[in-house]
Amino acid sequence: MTVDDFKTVWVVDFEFKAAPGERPEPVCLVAHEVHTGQTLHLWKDQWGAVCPYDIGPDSVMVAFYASAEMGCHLALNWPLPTNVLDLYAEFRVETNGRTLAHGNGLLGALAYYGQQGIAAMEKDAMRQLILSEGERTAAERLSILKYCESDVTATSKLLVAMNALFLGDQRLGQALLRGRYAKAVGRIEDAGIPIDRELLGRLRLHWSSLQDLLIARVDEHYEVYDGRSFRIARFVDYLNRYNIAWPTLASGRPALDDETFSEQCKSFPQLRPLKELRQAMGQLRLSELAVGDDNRNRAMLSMFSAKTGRNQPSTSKFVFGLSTWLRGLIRPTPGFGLAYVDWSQQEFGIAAALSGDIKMMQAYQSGDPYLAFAKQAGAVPADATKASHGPQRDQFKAATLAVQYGMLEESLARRIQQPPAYARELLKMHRRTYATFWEWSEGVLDYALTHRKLWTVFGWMFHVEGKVNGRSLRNFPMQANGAEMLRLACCLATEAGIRVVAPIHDAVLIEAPLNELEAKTAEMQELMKQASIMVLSGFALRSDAKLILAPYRYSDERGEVMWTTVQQLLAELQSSTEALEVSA
Amino acid sequence: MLKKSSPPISSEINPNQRDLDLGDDLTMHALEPAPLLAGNIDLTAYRLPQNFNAVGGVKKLITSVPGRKPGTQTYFRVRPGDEWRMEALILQLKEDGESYFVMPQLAFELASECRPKMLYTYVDRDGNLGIWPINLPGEDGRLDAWSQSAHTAAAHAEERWVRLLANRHVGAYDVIEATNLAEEPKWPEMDFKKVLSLAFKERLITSMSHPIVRRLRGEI
Repeated sequence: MTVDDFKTVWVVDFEFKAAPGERPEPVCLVAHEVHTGQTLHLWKDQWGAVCPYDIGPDSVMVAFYASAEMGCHLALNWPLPTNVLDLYAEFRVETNGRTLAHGNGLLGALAYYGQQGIAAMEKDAMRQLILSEGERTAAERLSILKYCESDVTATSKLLVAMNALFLGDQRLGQALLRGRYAKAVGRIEDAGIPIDRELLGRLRLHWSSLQDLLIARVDEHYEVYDGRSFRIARFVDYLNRYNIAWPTLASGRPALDDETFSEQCKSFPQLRPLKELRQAMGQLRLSELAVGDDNRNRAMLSMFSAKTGRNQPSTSKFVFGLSTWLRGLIRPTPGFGLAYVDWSQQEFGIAAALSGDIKMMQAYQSGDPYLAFAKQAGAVPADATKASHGPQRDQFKAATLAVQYGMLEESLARRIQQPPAYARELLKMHRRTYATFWEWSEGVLDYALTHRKLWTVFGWMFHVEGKVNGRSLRNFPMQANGAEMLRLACCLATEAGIRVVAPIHDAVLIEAPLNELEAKTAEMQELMKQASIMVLSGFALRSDAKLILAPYRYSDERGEVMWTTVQQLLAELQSSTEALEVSA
Repeated sequence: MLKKSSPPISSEINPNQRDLDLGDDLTMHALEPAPLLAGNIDLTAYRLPQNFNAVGGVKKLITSVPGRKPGTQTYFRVRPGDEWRMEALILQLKEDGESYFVMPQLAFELASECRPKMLYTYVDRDGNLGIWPINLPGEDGRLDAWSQSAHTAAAHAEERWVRLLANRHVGAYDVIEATNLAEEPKWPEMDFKKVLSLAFKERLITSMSHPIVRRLRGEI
């Protein structure tokens, strides 16, 4: 089967307005049928309740970044097409990892295949016109429709250029699977995440004053701030005072990037409030969190943007992109609940199944892979439990995670606060115990270095170019197949009518009326198990679920201290403001 | 927040579930086509293998095998079977501990410099291969206690992970057994002939004109 074998092939593009946090508001559409050459040009007052092009099982809709078109279908209450071919996703598959002179937008993709589209300047001008307020004149409508048509023409050209890729059933099937995910993303973005907008408003209003109070409150435990400035010398004093080993730069100064702070917080959780404070003082822009009038956070998930194929939503517009403590803003609407469902030890399970390491698979299936590892390595007796050998289990857990992160012995030693020799031995135990996994892992790296590409079970591709990062290459199968698993779970869940409001790395957040929440959660867990079975050729991964019932809000233990502190300060600030108002 | 876990998974592990070796370019190996149905797509037809190690066309080459006793801090296993050991004439340089393989026809001329040894094949827990030369009884049929205990240790190491500890008080090796180690040794895919040649490729004495011999005889 090929694309041409579909009865109708509709290349579709919508123009729409989308205020921050709101659903898209379609303005017009152009749809072109490839076989007959028929083209529809419809302004928003020209369409009805029925989708004007064929979306049945014998047809395929072709779009570039199809989740946007799906969002428009949902906004118009049109059913989603049965088959979707998203040329953006497929262009990413063809070029992921490569340096692209013209980027990975529609124009960049056309340029990659030696074609030309509408000039970028013209594109920007038309976007401005579409987004501007007020009714459009007849001439403006015509311009916008022509602009929309130019994108359809460009997408059609791109289809011709890429069509040869989809000549085999396997490749086309994989492409349609990614198109299926575009439909799921459309539904997820449409649903949005329930936000306590009243509290967000107060946080925004008082944010500047709160920052000073936060420094005073949080920094009293660290004494590293001077006004609003973070003083490195004071930080070094603090580290020395508490005997905390800290990675340094070549200059000898402590590394202060977010990644280092996050990593160090795992070993020294007492530093987490300071990390959160630094983020709050730095890039945190509460004003950009996109919340619509219906109190829902909607932001483009940016599907397939990461090298691993994961979503890469904005770190300022999407609530899960902000600092962890701000997840407290997520609160189910009255009568509803949320469930955060995540796979248990997903990376470990994927590594076990893909490498075929029987011991690793057995460790995963034991329910506690860290304790199982300690037992398999002979470090604890066979009847050891988490209660009887907690500290040993913690160290084997740290070693397992260290392997997953590609951590070396020095970092692991810092994490477990033991000498490097001890960490070295733990890592060696991992290599010995899971020798099959390590052989496979070496094979992954060797394959990437010699054949310059890696892929997932459903064909998400990574092309190895230029300077390589061996750690990332080794980890690609776990991360990218984890992404496949999440995409599949989102497809299965949204198609089953489960309201998925956010995908988050190895988890989904779902929403349901309180009386249905437990059943929907159980269904979600079953679908996640099915997704893991499909990706891992029969090996099932477990999942955990946390339920958040209205009127309670989402909480993450990593951000609890900061959240509580901010709430206290906000209350103090408000009461002092009110007192001032009364006295005035 | 309430917390709930999914029930334990009871599916059996299928040891054969790894993908088969299909050649070096997996993308060329499309599976049987499946019907392109949206919704319940048969995804197995679109699955690509993940056995990069089997198809990468890359393998680790062993280019060096030490010909010496395992280190006192190394747990090792000895490969059982007569095909993995042999008696040979070995000249050992005392000053640097290096062992040289002496061709049998030189036995008479180098009788005072070399002696018959049993060469055992061993591997450590990290998969590093070695040849362990242990003295055999001399012409008088006697064997020193160090060597006797070394043979005992080698026999023990066929079944268990052990390491050697010199006990100078007794004048023999103590054999320390790791009772918790259940893993089986990983033997490289290589026959004994190849192991032997790697161990002695640079240290083979085939004639009296070998520099080591000439040095020992004071000729150079």
